[in-house]
Amino acid sequence: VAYRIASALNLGQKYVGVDLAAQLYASGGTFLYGDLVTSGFSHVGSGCYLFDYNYPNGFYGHVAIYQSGSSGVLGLVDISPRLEQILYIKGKTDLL
Amino acid sequence: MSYTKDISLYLGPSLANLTDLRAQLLTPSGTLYGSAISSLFTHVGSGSYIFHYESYPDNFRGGVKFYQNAGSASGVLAIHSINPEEYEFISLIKTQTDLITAGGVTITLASPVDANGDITIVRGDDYKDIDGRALEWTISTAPSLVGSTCVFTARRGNSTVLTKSVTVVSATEVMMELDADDTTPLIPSTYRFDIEATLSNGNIVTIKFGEMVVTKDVTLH
Repeated sequence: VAYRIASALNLGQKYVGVDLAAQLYASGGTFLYGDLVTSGFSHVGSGCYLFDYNYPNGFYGHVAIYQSGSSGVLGLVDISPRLEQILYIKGKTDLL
Repeated sequence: MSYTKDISLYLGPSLANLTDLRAQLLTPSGTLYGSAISSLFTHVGSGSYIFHYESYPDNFRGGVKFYQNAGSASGVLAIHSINPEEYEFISLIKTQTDLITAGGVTITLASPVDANGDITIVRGDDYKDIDGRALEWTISTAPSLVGSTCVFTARRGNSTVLTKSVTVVSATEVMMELDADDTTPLIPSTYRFDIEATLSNGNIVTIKFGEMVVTKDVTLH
């Protein structure tokens, strides 16, 4: 089961309407997790983006944001399974 | 039921005391959700603002973009993500855990059948109508069930683990009772089930597919 998070990215005017890519890193930042992700980005104006992604169950780590074809990191988003755990807890407390 | 969340914005001294700030909710794919909001900003100094909004829709996921009305909606000054797990769900969890009272725990047993018609039962329990715990389904997509015979079958892989008669309550409702003898042999796991009806005219209709989750008990029977 995956868990979904919408992340806001403000990359600035230099990056208006560019193609972006994301790379997941496992906690600690040493290990790449999966392949480069190139979908789920929406430019909403002025270099601001939403990144909508379904993370693997229990994933704890980070997402590095790149401009497609470039190795320079534009941003780093921390991803914690906290939100997934809240969803799980809600499912349990809904039974009360 | 909508919920409330404040968002703080730092836009810098050059954008202090703006009177035409707008907020626009966005879906996860960046499309506009509802109308722009103009009246809920407080400038606290030096281009720092608080946006106080009390009407985030249930389960809303996406973002909020902020812009000046004097510019254009594409001239975004800031963006903020919204995930229901961060705010709304925690509030809902609090509401539910408030049901746990000091000096004791008051628990209202939920129906073993959820809104989707799936089942969660505890191994070793009885599920009897007299206790208000029978498993009940409302079926809206089948012919009238009056006069039909219904059978519940649960399987795991290729093995049938439970077969039980289901009582027809009305043209659209069925009910099943389980005995501890039925639930005790079930290994805690998730099973598939269906309810098959043989209508009064002899035709066979499967009126429900679903999952049956059997949870562990502590007291062994």
